[in-house]
Amino acid sequence: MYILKKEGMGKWISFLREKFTVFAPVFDGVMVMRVLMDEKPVLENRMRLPPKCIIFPQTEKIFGFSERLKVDLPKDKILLLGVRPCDARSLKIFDEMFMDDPYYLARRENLLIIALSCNSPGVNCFCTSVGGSPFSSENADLLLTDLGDCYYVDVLSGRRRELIGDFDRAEEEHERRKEELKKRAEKNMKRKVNTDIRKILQKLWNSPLWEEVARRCISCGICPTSVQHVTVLTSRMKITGGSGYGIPVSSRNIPCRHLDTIRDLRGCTGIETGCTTNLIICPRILRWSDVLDAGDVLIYALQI
Amino acid sequence: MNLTEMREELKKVIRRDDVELIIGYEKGTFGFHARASFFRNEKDVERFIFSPLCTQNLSTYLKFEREKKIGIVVRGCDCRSLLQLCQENFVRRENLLIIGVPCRGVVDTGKIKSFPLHGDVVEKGDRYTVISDGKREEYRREELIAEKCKFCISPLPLEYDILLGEPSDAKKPVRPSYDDILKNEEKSIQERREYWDRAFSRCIRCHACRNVCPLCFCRRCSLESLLPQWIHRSSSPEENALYQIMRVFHLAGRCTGCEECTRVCPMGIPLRELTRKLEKEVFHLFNHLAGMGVEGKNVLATFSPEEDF
Repeated sequence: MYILKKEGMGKWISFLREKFTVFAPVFDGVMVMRVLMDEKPVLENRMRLPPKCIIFPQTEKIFGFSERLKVDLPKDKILLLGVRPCDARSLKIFDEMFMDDPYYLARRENLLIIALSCNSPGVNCFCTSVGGSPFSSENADLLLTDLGDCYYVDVLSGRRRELIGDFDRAEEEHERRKEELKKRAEKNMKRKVNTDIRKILQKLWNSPLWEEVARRCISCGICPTSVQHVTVLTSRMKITGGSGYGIPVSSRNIPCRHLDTIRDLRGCTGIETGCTTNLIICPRILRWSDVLDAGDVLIYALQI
Repeated sequence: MNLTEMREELKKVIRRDDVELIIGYEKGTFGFHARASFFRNEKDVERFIFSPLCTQNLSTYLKFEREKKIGIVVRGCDCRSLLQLCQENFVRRENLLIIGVPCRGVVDTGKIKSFPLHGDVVEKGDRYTVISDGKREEYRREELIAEKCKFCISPLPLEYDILLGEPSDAKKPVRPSYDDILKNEEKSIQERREYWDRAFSRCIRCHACRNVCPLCFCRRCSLESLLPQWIHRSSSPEENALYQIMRVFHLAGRCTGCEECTRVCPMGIPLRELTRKLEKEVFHLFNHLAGMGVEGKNVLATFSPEEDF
């Protein structure tokens, strides 16, 4: 395990930029993930949109043809710097869902992730309720932990040669400080979500509750875009007429959208990642963890 | 009027035979942000709240609700949206029971430094206190207040059937002023171009700005038209700019300045600057402000032979 001094960050990033297209969080009105040019990444704040927006661009060239079909597989070597552990965990869902999608696989193979652990989780975050942790290293190639004056670097993949720059060896004291931060972060995770209700929620398909919840929704596209693990497949609201504007919001969209994020799809485990970006930016203060909570209430009422 | 008195008043309304539904505010799940709620009986009304955190414009829901008679809780700016909708014959005034609230301005929750989970915002004099989990944060009024409230010309609803409070509770209106827009106009074209290019390159085309707008109610939106396709659905800075320009032009002379589009934008695009620019142009050309009464005329759909071109 290594230590990266904060002064050495700039040098390390230029070292990475030589080999990869580095995406990192920068502040441009809001926190966005952009190809890093000469600016300094802002690692302290959470991003508005998950890294899925980079792995699945809104539009991309899939093939071209003149006389012959020419398939364009993405070749860029992408490095995501400073994504949060929950973001990295969300890739597990894509890995299982898109296991035979050549475009996804090509991009995934060329993808490296340097995650940054959450020292102070957001007030609404709940990754510990869904098997994650603010210090989870799942799917990450390196995990950085901010120790104040330096970053503690966990090396987790075999591609260390490509990633490790001019680092110092970590000492026991650094390790101790990291453990302390981890304990404190997990303790600070205030919000708990009861995920045992998954199966029961599926039975609630025809519940009047959805009507009430759907009333509030304005059918915009923020939540399918901003929730890390919602894919085009799962955000069926786009297909079922949710975006068909001017018609009353169908109460079906809500269970469709919310149950799908929870339900097992194609046999994959369907873990939620405990991210709350969408909690922060839903314009109508309707959130999928609301739905979990509301489900709770209903189950209580129905004595299921 | 305190909250209990407001609830009593609303209970009287919901007991009436002709009112089926009241659209009002309630606390969100986490107990800080307020959200829209639909009250059908007296028990529901117990959930009603009104505080500086009630930022949403509820008249958007008239797009979806088609009931007999709807009671709707409005502040001054929301009321203008309602009146504009009445002008355009989208809703009938007699189908509305306007429950006005004298408004003292709402807070922009994005300006609160901590991100509170539970709690409330209390207003006292020209200070706001954010109370969250036993902690108190003090802010000056100008620090937290939403931008639109600084330019509010009608804090007291222009028309109402019931007023929850006294007319004197509302903050003082200001005269229509577009100083912020005039300041932007001083910038060079190059500078403005760069500014908007940056803003539009962030747009994710979630269309929340369109869906949340109470006055964007066309059943067939040009965005969804495929033959001809006016605007590409994919997100690119040029197409995004075209989308916003088209949206704002459709609202010229109709936008009442509730600035819901700006509030909901997840990517922080300063849409208010576009809508206010158009509002300013219409005001200077025609001396017209949208939604100032049920009887007004739509400025771009009215022609007078005496008009000088």
